[in-house]
Amino acid sequence: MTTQADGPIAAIDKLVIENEINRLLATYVHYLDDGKFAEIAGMMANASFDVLGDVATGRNEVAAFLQGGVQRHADGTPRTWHALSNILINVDPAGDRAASVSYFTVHQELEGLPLQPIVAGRYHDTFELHGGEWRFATRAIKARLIGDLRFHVATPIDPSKL
Amino acid sequence: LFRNLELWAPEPSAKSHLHPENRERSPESLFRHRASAAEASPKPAVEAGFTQEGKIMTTNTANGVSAIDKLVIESEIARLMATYVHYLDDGKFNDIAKMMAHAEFGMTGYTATGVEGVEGFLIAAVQRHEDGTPRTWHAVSNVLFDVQSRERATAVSYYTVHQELEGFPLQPISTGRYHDIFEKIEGEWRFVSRLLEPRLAGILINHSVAALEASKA
Repeated sequence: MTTQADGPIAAIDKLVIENEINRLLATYVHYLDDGKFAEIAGMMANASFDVLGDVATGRNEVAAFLQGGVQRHADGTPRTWHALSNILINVDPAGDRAASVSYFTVHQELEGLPLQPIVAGRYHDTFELHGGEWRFATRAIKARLIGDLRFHVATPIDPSKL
Repeated sequence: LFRNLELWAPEPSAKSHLHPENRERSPESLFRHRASAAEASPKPAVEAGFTQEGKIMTTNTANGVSAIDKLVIESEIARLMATYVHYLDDGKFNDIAKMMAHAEFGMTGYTATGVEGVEGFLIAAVQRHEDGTPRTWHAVSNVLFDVQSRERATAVSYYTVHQELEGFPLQPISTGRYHDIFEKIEGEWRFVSRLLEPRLAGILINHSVAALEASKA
């Protein structure tokens, strides 16, 4: 049942940590699609956040980054729907750091834009255990497939950065 | 949205090595250490799953849900959530209704209860096409679980629905959230409530009835 994993932490430790990290990943997108940028900035208060090479670090920069970079529409939300999948988590053998790679597939719908997929890509994340809680240490967004982003990002995506 | 960190079950085989001090030890010596610590203090009153040194505690939470309980419960609930969409996309409304035998099901303003009520609701609200299915594909993601006790849990999740049928090219038609409550009834985890929160809407003429579409606004 709780056989030893590859590293010094037990298999059960690893499952618990992965569970915590899955929750952080899901919480982020719930907040994002609800337009709760301050809450995301709180999650990223000690993290650096890299979107196609532009990096924001800490709560204030991340908040400004989201406010400046992500459009919110009449209902106060980005009108997006980020579905995460294919989450790969690696827990450091010491049990206080972890990394993950996951897929996001984003749909959007608002007046003037029928429901459609607008972007797909990966989140590359690292996490750290601090004061008994797991938190983001870094998040890098790598876009792969690009649709109509006119109503999502504030500035056009530079294809050379993909 | 954040739940408290959960604690560890004091399983004899649960070898927690997360503290640097523990990494030096063999699993056996660690377990002896844990056992003696447990004897000295049978039920440490701690709020979170980690001590100040960052060591995972091998005790239960106040609500009696250990870390391993929580993982097992979440796994069972995840299975219910996945089973529901498999049945739905196969048009097996009676099977869904049986899953909802103890549940309130629907969305604000349109709910049904019990096997007959839920099956009638689905038949009235969801179109089935030539192959007997809705020709939909519900992908569930971003599940946030909250295990409240050994007998009760909630979950909020995303659905993203695509559809394709004759005259209707494959496309997304709907997204939203499921808000669920589960309880362990006679030894089995069951839905006791599933309410939909529609968010983004595409072309629903081949999926739901007009009354439900109107409720999306």
